[in-house]
Amino acid sequence: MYTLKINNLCKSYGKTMALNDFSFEFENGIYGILGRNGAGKTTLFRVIVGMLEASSGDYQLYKDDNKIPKKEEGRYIGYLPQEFDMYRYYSVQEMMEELCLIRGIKKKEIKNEIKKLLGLVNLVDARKKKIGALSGGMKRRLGLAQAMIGSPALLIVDEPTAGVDPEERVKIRQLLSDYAMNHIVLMSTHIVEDIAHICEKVIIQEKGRTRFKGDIKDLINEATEHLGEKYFPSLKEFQEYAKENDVISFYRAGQDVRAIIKSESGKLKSEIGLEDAYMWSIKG
Amino acid sequence: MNYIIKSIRCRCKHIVIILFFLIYSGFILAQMGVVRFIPVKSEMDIKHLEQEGEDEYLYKELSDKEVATAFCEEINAVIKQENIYEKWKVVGQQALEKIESGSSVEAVLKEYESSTEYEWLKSRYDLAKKEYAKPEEINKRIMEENNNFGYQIDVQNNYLTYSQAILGFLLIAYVYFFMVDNQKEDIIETRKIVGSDRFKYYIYDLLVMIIPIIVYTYLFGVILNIYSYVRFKVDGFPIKYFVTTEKYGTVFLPTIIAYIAVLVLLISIFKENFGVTVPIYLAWVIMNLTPNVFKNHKLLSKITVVNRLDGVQTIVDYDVGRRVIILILASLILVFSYRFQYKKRKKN
Repeated sequence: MYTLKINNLCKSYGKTMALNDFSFEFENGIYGILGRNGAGKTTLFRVIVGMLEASSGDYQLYKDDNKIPKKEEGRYIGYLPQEFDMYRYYSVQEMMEELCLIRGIKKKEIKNEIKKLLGLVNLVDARKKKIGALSGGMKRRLGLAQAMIGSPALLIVDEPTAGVDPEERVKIRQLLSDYAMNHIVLMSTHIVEDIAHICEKVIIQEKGRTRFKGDIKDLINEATEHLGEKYFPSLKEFQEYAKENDVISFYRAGQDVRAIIKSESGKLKSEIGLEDAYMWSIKG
Repeated sequence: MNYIIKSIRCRCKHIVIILFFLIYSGFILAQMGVVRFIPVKSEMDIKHLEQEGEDEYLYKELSDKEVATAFCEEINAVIKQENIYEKWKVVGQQALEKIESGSSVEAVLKEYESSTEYEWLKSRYDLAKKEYAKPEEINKRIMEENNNFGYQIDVQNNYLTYSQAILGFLLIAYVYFFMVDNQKEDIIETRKIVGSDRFKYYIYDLLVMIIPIIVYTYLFGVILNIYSYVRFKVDGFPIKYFVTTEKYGTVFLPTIIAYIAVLVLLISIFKENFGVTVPIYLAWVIMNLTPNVFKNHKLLSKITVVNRLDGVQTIVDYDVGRRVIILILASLILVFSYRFQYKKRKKN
């Protein structure tokens, strides 16, 4: 059982607070982190990974309540950065071999480790391809494979499904869910659907501050109490309405358009999703 | 070590690196072509060597009397020509009379030192001194003057000098190739080297860059040396093999490390701003290669990292202590570059 405790973590650039007083305790499982661009998600990840120095606050990784020494922490953390890249003239196999060596995998285990990881992300056939020749989706999958080298206790994935086709996206969700059974997975994405499908807990960041942290169902329940809905017989009528009013989100519902709007009375005929709740959270 | 070997194997397959070594090898072979004509076997070899500027062993060592005789013969031959200026006939005749009356050639030249006739007489004198030796005499002289090492010492001196010169320029592309990728933020994030591993992998990555060039240039030098050795051996000379490691280590290595250190520092500061890095670096390299052309060149020579062994530059003498200092300074620059790179990144 792994635990990551983060206490009052702050990161500032001059007067701008990119991360403001972030605290949370993560245990085995998968956590979704949502927020607009510049909300502080990537900053949080970079600080945990050790790429950035926190302005204040700290974090500690535990294995069965035993502290993992700071100098060993790197081996326990896997990271898929938002902009994953490597030497473009390396083949997939070469890149994985080099990263295995950096992550301290024993030489005799490297071959099997790479075979296993490339198999998980469905890239075995592409192992001789140059990194520069990979499609965006293949690169993301390769990024995920390298992040899982050595089965790290904490897997941090920054937009793992960006640019990945729907079929592979489902596989990645499955892969992360399986991995989270015995590890901590922190996932940031703009595809709210990914989090809705595989996460139980979500953290919403807005301008460096934590707007919500907890179970997804609690977020939806809370949002439900503050949202209402309105139906329009045509898209044109909805658009006229949206010009004058604040709309949280909208969908096509048969011939009608269903708009989710703020309402203190909380009158909703049908359920709302995580995306509605998230939009309410950052707009509210 | 596994990382270093693996990384070298992956990176040295790139076309930029292959081209770098090809251009370097081509330049060295073009400059060192004289090795093919030594030991000298014919008049043709002598002509080739003279054309290549490698004339150190080609001429007879004449006595002053022999030089004076040859000089008089040369002047006589010139003044007998019909189409020569009257002025040169007069000067030549006067010089002959002075020599016949007992003056030495040097004394006659001294008399004309500040006049316009000096260069004309001096050129006759230089020609008089240059009488080709026979091939066997040339080879004997090469063996004797080099303690039976044949032409190997010259091969190594020239090789190390030319290598320092050409690498001063070619290393820009080489170091840039290694450095720029390593400094890309996306790649740094992907490699995720944090904590105390940072400095370790900085050193590893430097070694990935430095080891191929050291191994290649060392082996290339040894091959040239063996080639020269074998040519003498096959021709039956009692030649000894000359071990090249010492001068390679004390002359070539500090220069190359210094080149790399300065480039790493400039690229760390200016990053992809190639237009800033290159002129500064080139100015420094040119100053190193030809300190004599600058004012205050004695001062400049004190901070020169290049050690020419081809006899062209005499200011910077071979001094092991000085070479060690250069190596230490280069290492300090590399450590400073590391601190500059990572402290800056950690704050961003």
